[in-house]
Amino acid sequence: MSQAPSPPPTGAAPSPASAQSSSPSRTPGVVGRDISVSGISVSSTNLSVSPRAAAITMGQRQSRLLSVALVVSVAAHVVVCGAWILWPSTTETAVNLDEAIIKTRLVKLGKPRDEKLLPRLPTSPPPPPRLDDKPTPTIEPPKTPDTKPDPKAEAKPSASDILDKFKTDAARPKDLSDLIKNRLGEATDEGQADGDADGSALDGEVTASYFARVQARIQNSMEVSSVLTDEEQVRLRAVLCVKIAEDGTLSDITVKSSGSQIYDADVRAAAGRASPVPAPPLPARRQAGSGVCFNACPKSCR
Amino acid sequence: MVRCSLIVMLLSVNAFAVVAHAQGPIVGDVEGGELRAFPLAVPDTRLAATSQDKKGDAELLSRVMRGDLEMSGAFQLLDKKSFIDTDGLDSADVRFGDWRNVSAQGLVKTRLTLQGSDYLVEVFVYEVASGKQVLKKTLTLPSADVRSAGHAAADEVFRAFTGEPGVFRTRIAVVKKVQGEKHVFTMDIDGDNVRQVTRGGGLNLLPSWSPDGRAIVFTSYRYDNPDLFEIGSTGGESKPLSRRPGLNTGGRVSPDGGRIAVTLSQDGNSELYLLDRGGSVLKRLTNQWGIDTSPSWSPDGSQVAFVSSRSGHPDLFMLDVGSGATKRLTFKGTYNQTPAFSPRGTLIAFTARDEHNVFDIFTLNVSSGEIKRVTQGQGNNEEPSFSPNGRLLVFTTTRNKAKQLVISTVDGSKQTVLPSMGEHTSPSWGPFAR
Repeated sequence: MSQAPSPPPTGAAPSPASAQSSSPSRTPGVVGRDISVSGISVSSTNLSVSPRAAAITMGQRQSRLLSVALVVSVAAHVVVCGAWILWPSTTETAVNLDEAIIKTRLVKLGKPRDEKLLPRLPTSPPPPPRLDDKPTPTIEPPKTPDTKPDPKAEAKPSASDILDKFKTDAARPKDLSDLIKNRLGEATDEGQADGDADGSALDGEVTASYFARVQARIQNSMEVSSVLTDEEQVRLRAVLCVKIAEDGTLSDITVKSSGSQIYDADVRAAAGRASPVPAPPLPARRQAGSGVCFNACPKSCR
Repeated sequence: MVRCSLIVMLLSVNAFAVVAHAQGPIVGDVEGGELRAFPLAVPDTRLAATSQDKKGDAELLSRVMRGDLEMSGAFQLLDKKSFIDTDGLDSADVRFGDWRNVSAQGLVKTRLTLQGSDYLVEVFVYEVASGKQVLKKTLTLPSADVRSAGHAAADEVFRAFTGEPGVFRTRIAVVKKVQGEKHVFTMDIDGDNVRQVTRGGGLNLLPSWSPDGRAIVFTSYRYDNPDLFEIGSTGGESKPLSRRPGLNTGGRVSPDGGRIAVTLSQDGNSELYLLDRGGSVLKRLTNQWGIDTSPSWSPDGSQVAFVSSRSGHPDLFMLDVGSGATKRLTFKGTYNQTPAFSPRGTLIAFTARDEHNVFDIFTLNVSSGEIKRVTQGQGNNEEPSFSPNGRLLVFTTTRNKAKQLVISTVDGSKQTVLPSMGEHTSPSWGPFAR
């Protein structure tokens, strides 16, 4: 931005009036030209400037530098702000194309529908409840008989209580066999005449809970053909039998006919859609593998 | 012989018990399930070798049949582009594996043969999963009426899969505006084959079929008063039934065909009366300060559903015709009208105005009182009437501005607007074709 001052005209003294006439509002180029006009004499070997002219020159130079700095600063801000607005974030992509777009609509908070109003159809029906697809066996906690709440239970635990609880937690069963052992003790000769050699009472609870989940899974997959008559929907009853592999896959799907081949096909298709079901827990594996059956009815089996 | 039968029976039971035991114990009940339309493949109608020049008729027959089956809501017809129909018609020649691959559960094949002035329509119906032939039937119909042949074939298919009679050859009576007058017309259930029934008389309204389908009862202003008339379902001379002072409207013939429930206002207030088929009063059914109107018979003829304003606004009520006992049916909504009993007697379809001041179709479960909505968010929908098998409803709609007819399943899951010109009001679904 430095500009070489041009030599003054011969014999011309620097004029204060002309020096003062230089305005800060002028452009730097114009200021430079004014400087040359105002009597700054510059040669390659000698520089002679009067004190007053030197003071004016210093002020003008500062003013020019200030202007230049101002312009540079504004330009830099514009560049930085533009980059910040226009450039995508460096840490994550602006739109992740791998993510599915999920449309949501917030439900307005309100009162329950007035019972005297006519019913309305749901605008978006809720999805049917589905059990977890992962074949991970889970153990339902055994039901405990109804007992009256112990008033001591609500008392604040003492330090010794906390210590006892810590010991109890440490001794908590790690797996299902520990749980069974904990519940029933070591195996004894006692049992029921129609029981299983490896059986225990707890096996029954776990097994029943598991097959209830399998039944719910098949029921969720059930679609009844609308060609069935009202009478058929009340009357028909098929028996669906399946074998359940350790990974929950259903095989050997057979249907004892309801009398309607259409409904039989519906039942068979539902079992196919339901597979794989949750993997059977240890106590249920043998029965699941050898095969179990379910009644199937278009409306109710009762 | 009896002993042998018993032994066979016992052996069968034992054999089943062994099989059941081998399959495992019963550990639960799978009950209910979502109703799903039955996936059905209906390829184009084929032509017999002697009738190859009747391609247009074969296409029309296919189109009518497919339209009927689709409209019924019971079937989901597979797109014709999703399969290639190159196998045979008889069960030995059908490649069921191919049809299973395109997810068909039912298969309908037809062949058309011209024989003199008649068409022979052969209908082959299969269950794809089992490969079982459920119907093989030949219909003989006049060649001049291919549409009827299509409806008849659709009826056969519907019956083969559901065990219930189809309604595709029934007709619907409706009021249409013609040159400043309103007249009763009848039409096929796909809106085609429209025939004018009443002529002259200015306004002719509120048609209702006799149970045998031979007559239509309607209200006419031909003598400058709303009087009750009867006319043959194909037209002809109108016969006056009730020309009493005031209203003579909303006549409904009882299921036994011997009585007519009607609204009369001869005593100053609108009340329900029972007339014989000649128009003489048998009995006054209601006697209340409110307006009582729009009677609809229960299928056994023992009860009449009607509209009354006795609760302060129009609501549905039920009247026992024998004892005269009345009970209120609707307690929701403030404007409930035009009840129509289902042929099974379990539901009453009606029009109600909701809180958005829109008229929509609802059904009321007669035993539980549960109300279900059939239409929503599609203009005003009014004046429902049940199909004779109770599976479908017809009603008017303004969803496309002009009042048109809609054929809908009872739960509203499948609704078909009939293509039509002009305004249509007061539909009444006729009985089964005889």
